Amino acid sequence: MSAFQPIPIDEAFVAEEQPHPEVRALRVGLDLGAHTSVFLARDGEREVTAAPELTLSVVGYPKEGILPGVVPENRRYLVGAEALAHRLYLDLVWPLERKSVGVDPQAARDFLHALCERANPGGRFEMWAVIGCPAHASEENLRSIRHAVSGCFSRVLLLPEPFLAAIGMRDPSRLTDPTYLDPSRNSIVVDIGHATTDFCLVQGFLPRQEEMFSLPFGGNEVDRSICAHVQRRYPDVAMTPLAAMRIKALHSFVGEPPERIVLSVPVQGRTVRVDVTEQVRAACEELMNRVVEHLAKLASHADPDAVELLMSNVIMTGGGSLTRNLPQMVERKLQQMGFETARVRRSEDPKRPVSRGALHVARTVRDDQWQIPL
Amino acid sequence: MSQDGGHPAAADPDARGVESTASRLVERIRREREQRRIERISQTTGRPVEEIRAEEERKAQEAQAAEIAKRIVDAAMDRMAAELARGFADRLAGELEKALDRATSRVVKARPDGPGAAQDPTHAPATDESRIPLSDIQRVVDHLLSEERETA
Repeated sequence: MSAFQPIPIDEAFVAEEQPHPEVRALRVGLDLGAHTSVFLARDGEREVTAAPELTLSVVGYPKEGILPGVVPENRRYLVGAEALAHRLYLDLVWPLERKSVGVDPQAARDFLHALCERANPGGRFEMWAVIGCPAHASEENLRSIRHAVSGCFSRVLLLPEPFLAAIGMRDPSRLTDPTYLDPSRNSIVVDIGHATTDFCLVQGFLPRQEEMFSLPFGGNEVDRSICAHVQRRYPDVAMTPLAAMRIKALHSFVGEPPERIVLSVPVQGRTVRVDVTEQVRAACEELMNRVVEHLAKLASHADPDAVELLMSNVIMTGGGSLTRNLPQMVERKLQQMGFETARVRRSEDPKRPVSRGALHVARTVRDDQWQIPL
Repeated sequence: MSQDGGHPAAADPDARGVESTASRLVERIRREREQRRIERISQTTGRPVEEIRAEEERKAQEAQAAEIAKRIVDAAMDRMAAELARGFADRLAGELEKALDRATSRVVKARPDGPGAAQDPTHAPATDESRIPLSDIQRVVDHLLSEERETA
């Protein structure tokens, strides 16, 4: 895929401690998402991603007995959008779907190797990566992530995603601006990912375990729900999770539909037009209702003095936050529940706060704080 | 209207007969129209009339079931909303009481002869020293790594 560009070396991000005079180490930030992964090599004005289009976390292996030449360059596997484009000839694996990596460690390793190879062809320099991991990742999960990244990165730091997101959303250049609402001071961050929706109270300090929780309901559940609703309404239409994922990416909404969603689908060989507006809305509103319910629950655990302030600064991030009307509808529902000061907004560039925070941390930590993956 | 204020058809047997004939007629027209519509679909798509009719009936039943389910869910939601509002009001009352207690204790502490005056002459709010500021990234990382070592 030509969209990937090798990372140009920037002296500001090269580690102080150089492993060998001829090999240089570069610090990078990585958000390993169940659906999309983001790999950042720089930040600020000079931010460059190793994969300019966000990389879908999918690996495709050629199906048994496929003719030579069908898969580009007869490669052993394809990753990201390229794998989806050739999906008819491949068995697709989403290795990070449950963030356990243990589901398919080989696929996770293949995915990371492909990402690193494209960013750093020929291994011109060592890469030291800060990697986001779920807030409540078990020791076993962390071990399997470390196992998957060994051989790709020389040194790593696995840090909780809510912490990285809070750092990544902060704009240090605007801290003196009186109109700037610092997201790390008093806010509730809602990160709607593919596998989970994570909630975190951010009050200027490293969040405690009880201030973060993860709901096992995210974009993949919305995909499943779209399939189920469509199947119920149109029994003859065969809707795959991949097709539902595409519909969600293009049309997801809550509240009033911005336009009717009419699809042309094959039914018994004929092309039929079906209106799936209500089905998409029902699926997306399931997610919205859960977010509202858990925000109210989180507020009940916060310091009563801070509830108003927290509720007035709810920040949504992650791919799911791109659902149209979602912040406005969540805000309205919270207000109807009695949280009159509730204000909900979507973070700028909602798919990148974790990787941006990871890159910032990678630049800031001391060389002796890095870990060597074994 | 009839003299006793009821519907005219309820009092007049002739009117009742006319109404029943009219409703039968309407029903027949509806059925015929439905039959024609199904035949038209059958001609256009080449599917048997019986199959289309069965599908239509299934869809009608589904719509009815969905409507009933929606009513049940609406009723449940109304009840839940009422309970939530009641719970919220109770919690609010409790929190107001606690806030009042805290405010009172702060006022007492802030007085020149109050219990906090001798220990804390600036009356500055206490800070939670056990917590690590987000901006101190190196300290945060040290803390997380030591936690990880303890767990391992």
